[in-house]
Amino acid sequence: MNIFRSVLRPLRRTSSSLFRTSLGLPAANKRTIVYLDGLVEEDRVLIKPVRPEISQLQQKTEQQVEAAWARLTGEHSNSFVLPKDLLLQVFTHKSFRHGLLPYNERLAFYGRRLFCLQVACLVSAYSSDGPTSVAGKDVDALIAPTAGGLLHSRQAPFKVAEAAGLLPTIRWSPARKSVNGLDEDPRKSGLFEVGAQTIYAAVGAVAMCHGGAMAEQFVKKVVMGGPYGIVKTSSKESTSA
Amino acid sequence: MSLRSRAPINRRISASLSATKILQVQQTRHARHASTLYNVQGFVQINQPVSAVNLSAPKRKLFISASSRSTPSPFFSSYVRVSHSFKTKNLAIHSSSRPNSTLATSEPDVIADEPAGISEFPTSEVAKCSALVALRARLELGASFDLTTLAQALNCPSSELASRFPSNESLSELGARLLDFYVSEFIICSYPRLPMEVIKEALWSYCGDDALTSVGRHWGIERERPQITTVGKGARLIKEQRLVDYFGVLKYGRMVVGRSNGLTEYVDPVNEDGTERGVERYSTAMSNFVRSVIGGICLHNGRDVAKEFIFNHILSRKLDISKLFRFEQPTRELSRLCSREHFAPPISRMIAETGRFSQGSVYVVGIYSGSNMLGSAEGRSIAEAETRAAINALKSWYLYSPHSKLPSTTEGKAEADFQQLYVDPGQVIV
Repeated sequence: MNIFRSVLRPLRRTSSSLFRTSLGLPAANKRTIVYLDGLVEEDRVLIKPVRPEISQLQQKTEQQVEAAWARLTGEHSNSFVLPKDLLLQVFTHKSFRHGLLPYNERLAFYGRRLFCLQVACLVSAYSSDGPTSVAGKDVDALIAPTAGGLLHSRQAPFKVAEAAGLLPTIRWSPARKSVNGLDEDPRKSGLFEVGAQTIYAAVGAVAMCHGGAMAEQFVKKVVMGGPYGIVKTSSKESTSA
Repeated sequence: MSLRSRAPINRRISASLSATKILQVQQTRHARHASTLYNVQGFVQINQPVSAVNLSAPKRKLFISASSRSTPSPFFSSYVRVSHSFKTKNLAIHSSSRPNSTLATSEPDVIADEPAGISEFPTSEVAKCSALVALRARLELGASFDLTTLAQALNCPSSELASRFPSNESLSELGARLLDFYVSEFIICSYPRLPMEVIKEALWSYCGDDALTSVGRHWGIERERPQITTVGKGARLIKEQRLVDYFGVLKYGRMVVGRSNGLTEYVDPVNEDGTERGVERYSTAMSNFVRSVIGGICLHNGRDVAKEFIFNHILSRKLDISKLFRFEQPTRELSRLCSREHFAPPISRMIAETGRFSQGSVYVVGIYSGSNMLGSAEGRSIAEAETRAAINALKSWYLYSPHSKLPSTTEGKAEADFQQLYVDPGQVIV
């Protein structure tokens, strides 16, 4: 902490009006000392050169991430193109390297709310003539268990991430007791939360990059109705059961 | 005395009343499934099923008084009297036939006894409710917003009417999603570098229960109040409200029934038939109502109108986000931030000082990264000034606010040009 202590620089006699010494001040201001003096221009800290093996690892990670994204988006990959750094951020959890690299927490926060709103609008869009309908629409579906599973649980997006094979690509650190997060129960190791967060972050990233309309399309065509979407994964579960 | 005028409610209960009688009064008032029976004099009998009526059995009078009245006093003229058809399923409640009755309508308010399921709000009855019409006009909801939706928004799932008419549970769920999304989008896009704790705090400040309760109060929403009046010699009578008047107030199952002599009366959480009685806090009920209105606007008028409503009523409230920060180790956090962003390490320098050996010492310290000053502040000690300067530097970083377009502005547009927004790498972890 000593480096943060103020450094008393020697008072210099200069012709600048900013610099005044105690001898030059009037008697009434002898106890007020101004320390503004010439600041030494310090060079900006240069970025350390990256070792070749680390740069190769980074390139390999980027390729894996791009392949995972192409797998997730499927035939709509041309519509939902993301910049490389943003794509890496989507697949990076806060636990990776103690948050030194850009992570997806804020993107997931926003993306989850966008996803839930889309689900709510889709669920309440069905027409109904019942006594509980509002404006001719069946709103009671929002409080049904099916919608509750989508709105309040992370099960569905985790299944999407698992089906699309995104889990090995995500950069994260498992919980302390888990040695290898992929082999153990995902709820215990934290992979459940990490996987769901990645899907939500993808939604948020598309919104930040392409706008709300494209994000809505992403939710409908990829997350809900894509080849690894919620509709297909839930139907596979029901048929297997 | 008109039903609509509210007599001063005397909540003081005499010491002679026993707790069981109070509970019986509460159960009568809050029972959902018990059917109420009216005897000849017009007093309410407590919790007797229609099929089990025995006219010869002694009837317990509802009001608690030492003296009993054989004939109804003029005070009771404004209250409804019941016809003698006890054995019929439908109880017809007829209004008083006195010429000076102030009831607005002479039509009987027919209340079906124990309907089979939930029925929709009667449109004709809802249209008579002046409170709903005034509320719709006050909020500028437009004629496309049905009054029945507004009545549904005021009906919480824990209220007595929730077993007969639709409640606002589903509407509030939709409204909560809308609020959550638009408010969080506004905060994140306005301040992309805010820490997550501050974002959540700001979200709660804008659309939490307390904030929405305040909004509902400003809208002039009244809540259902138990109509208890004192009728001579400490007698208490529960006044039955007309159904039309019920529609225009916020209805919910109360936890607290009354307060007297420093004691709080709570409602019994279990009904007589063993079912759980729904109770809700006032803040929860009012905030759910506000969310329900937003959900109703989305269904009737579309998401764009709902978004505009949220911006006009919720996001127009002023919130000083800079006061939501709380730093534990600001100098360390600033150092980590500079390291992450590849800035020169921060160094604090004294800018000015005065009164060093006096009681009124003031030190002005600035924190510099190279020749760029990140933040400065004053303090009564050097350490305090340094800490404040670090906090100011961190706030100036986190409160960065680019004027960017919200992603939701492209909703509903097929091809809209959208410029990528600034995405922050994340807050500094110390």
